[in-house]
Amino acid sequence: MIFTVPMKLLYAAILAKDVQTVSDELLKLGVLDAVSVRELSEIGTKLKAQEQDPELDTIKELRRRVEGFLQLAPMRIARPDPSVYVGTPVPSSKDIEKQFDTFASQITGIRERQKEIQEQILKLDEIRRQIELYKAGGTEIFANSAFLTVKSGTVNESSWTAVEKALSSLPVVIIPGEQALNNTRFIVVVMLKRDESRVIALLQKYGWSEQIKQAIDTTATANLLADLENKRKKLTATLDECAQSFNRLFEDHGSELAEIWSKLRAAELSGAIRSSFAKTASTALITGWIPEKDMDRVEKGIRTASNNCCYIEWLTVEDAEKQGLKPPTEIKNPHVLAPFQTLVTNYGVPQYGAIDPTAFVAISYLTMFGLMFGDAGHGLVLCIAGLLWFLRSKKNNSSTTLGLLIVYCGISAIISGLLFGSIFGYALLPPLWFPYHRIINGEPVTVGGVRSVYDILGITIKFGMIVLGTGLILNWINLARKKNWITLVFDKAGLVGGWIYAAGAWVAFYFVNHNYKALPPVSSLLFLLIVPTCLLALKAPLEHIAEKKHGSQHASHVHESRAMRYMNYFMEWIVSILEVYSGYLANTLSFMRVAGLGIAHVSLMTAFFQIANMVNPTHGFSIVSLIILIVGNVLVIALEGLSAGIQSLRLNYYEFFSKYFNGTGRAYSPITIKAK
Amino acid sequence: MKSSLELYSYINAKLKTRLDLFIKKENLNNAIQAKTLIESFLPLRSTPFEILEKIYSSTGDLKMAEAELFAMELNAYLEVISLVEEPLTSFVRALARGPEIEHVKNTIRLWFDAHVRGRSIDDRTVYCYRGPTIDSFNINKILSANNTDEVIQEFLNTSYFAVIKECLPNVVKLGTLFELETALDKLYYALLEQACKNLPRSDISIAQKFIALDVDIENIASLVRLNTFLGLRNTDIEKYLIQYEDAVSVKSLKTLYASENIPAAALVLLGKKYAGLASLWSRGDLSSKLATLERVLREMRNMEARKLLAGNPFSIGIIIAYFILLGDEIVSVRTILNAKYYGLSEERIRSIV
Repeated sequence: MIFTVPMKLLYAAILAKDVQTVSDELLKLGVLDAVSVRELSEIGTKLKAQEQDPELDTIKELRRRVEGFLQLAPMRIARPDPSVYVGTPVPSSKDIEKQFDTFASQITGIRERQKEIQEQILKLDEIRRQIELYKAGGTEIFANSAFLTVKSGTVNESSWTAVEKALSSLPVVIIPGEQALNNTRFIVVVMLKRDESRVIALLQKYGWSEQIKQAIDTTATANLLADLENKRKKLTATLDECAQSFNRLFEDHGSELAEIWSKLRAAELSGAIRSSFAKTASTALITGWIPEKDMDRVEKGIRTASNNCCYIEWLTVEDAEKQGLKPPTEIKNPHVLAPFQTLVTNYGVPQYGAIDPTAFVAISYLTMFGLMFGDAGHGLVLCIAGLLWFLRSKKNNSSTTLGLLIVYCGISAIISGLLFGSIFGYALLPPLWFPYHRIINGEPVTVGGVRSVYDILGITIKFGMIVLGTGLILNWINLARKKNWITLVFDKAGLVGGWIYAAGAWVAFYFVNHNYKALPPVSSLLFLLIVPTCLLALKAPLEHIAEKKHGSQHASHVHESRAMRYMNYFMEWIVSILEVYSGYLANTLSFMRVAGLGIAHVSLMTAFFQIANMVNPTHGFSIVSLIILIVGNVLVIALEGLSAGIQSLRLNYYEFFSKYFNGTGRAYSPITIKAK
Repeated sequence: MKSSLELYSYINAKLKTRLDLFIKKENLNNAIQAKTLIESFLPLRSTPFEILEKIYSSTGDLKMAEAELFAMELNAYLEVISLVEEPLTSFVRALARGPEIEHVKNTIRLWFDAHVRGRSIDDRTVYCYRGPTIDSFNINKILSANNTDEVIQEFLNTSYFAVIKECLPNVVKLGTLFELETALDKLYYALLEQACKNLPRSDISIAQKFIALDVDIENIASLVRLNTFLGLRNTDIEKYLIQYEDAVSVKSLKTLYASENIPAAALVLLGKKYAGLASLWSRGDLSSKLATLERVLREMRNMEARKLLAGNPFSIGIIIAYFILLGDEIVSVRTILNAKYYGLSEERIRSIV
């Protein structure tokens, strides 16, 4: 947890016939961060890569395609664990493709059916629009319409039921006559012009005889519209049935698709591992990074899978680095620190062997947040909101990091709220530390060490010094582990830089404590500041000497003249001085924003209280005052919460990380079949 | 007049945020690579176009999804109009005339097909846009109108009345809508130029440059259509071209019309910066060439839009760029979905999009 996970470089040679079994075994183990053998400077260029399985791209494509189908599913379809299928043969991709095409065409069939029904619904809607158009104009619905055809006539009375049934499936509306005359029934049919021939052909089967056009009165129009509405409802119900067919399709085939996905996924990952091997005539060579703790089981797995026909060698990181290979970085923290690990990796991946800053970020972030957002009531609201977000994310199978972070920030705010005695802006409990609200509101505080805004600012500056000091110490540890002694001692973030910072802080406090009138004696300043400032100048020349000694001189330095070199040393020294003095000062003063935001938090609440009092001067119960206070609290929680969260992040990223964090690491990414 | 900062700070920030939500190239690529229409909707999820999948899956009707695309475009204009104040309101209203005029043309085309050519149109009228527009007109009454007078009457309270009144009777006689459509296009640019004059001084040149490019693109497309489909003589084309002060002159366009390879010559005429696009014209048969030409012209507009985005953040350029890129995105989505419906190959789709 404090340092990155130790790694070892695996070299293994196996027989060509064992490539499949070994790659399956490595996939099951899920710890190999493969390195292409061709990256190795000594022998790599003479080796060929393992032949890429020509099916691999097809398998990837099919896997993406089935993922698409699973996304279309109206219900969540659980996918079997792909590790179960490692080593099992995959059906031929042609068969799978055929299966997918069949499935897609079944869906297309349902969509086509929906389209037919939708077209009928749209026709009925068009008929309605035309009827309403003429209804509004008071015009009889006659065949002057460009879109509608109105036909009136008679059909055989005995066929009336059959006519009703036959026309029910067509986008037409019928107004039946009230009485049967001469064993015939008079009807008026309203349809779209393009359906005319179809409808008339149907009616003629039932003895249709066209009559003179008649006017359609208001009652008949109302019946028409009612009939339209009924037909539309029936069609809509049919559309719903199509939707249910779609659901049934996935109920019937969903698990099959999920199984195919798992098989394809296993085959794809196994192929990915195989493609990282290099080959000779009859062997395959495997190279990759493995966490030190997994060495034994990886070796055992390879030996078992290859029936002990293998050669295995382990290299340390130092030996691997001599061959130009950089180890990947894995940082492992308890799940409870997951949000802070995300904050760290969002910034960058720590270098291998460096300190994992996650735990430190957790402490500094939450402390900063608490100092800026010190209210127990608001913290409780954040906790509840964070918990709801966490549960919702878990339900949706999405990342729970943000929800967790909000909960932690809420807890931090509750603790600081209790320290400052603030619950929803009210001093309902005595503060455990100092009365923040009373100080900000200008009330006299005579007890305790914190009595004024300047004291609060002082706290935040001291807090900033602790954070920056911690950053420096972490940097020294990292440099010591890398045995980078010159940088450790003489860098602006090294021991000399720390010396200047500590001395500068002491001088500043001396100055403040002497009422801004006196600095320390010159002899003290000489030792505290001048000496280390001069020592900074030694860094560049010592590095140059070390480079020459190791033969690793930078190309630009090789042909440099002496004058130019000394000029460069001087310039580097000047820049270091500027960076140390102005940079550290700026970094420290930056922490005053913690006080600033905390003060803003209190001030906003005070403002809302005053508005509420203005509305209700009698201080009795008032709905309006209550609303103002609720709105005020919501605004403060939202705005201040966001500000505090962002500023805490900024202080960590810029002030804290800049002292020690080198985000040039490469993340450890093993080919694994296990879900993350 | 308010300062540029006051006029543009809110709306430009809003539109720039919207631009970040536009479909990524990767999503469009995945949609093109999808095997079927159904699968091509998936990359549109979590984008403003995910509603298209909902429409398609509930109706099975791609045309309804396309109708929604038009509504999205017009509503974008109406939304921006509601968020800005004068003189920007007038200018954005004038810009919004673009899609509105397409809606007017479409409506009149349908009426023309039904009443002049005697074709059935009720399979198309159901997809007509019936939502809010800048100038209101009753599309149902227009489609049901029995003669040109009734059609003209429906446009009485719109900006298009005079043009339609003048041109519609004649196009009915001639049996082609080209003259009316050109007149409506000319009206669009006239309204745009008029609105442009009220903009802050620093914005007028930006707006005029955009109008000039648009006019050039429109004229080039017209020349190709006139040559390909109507085969008009050089002397007859002038009335179909749009005159605009900063655009390529009609005289140059007439010279262009006489050349063998209009698009290549056009691109050279427009300037060296577009010359590289001319090579795209040479491949394929006529229909693919026309599709390529449209793509090239769209790309020219997009290039100018991207330049505007990189320019002064408190200018009309951001608003213009937003609508150009929105229009382009909508065209891309519509093209891909249609292409998937008709089973076009991936290569063919890429040549169009």
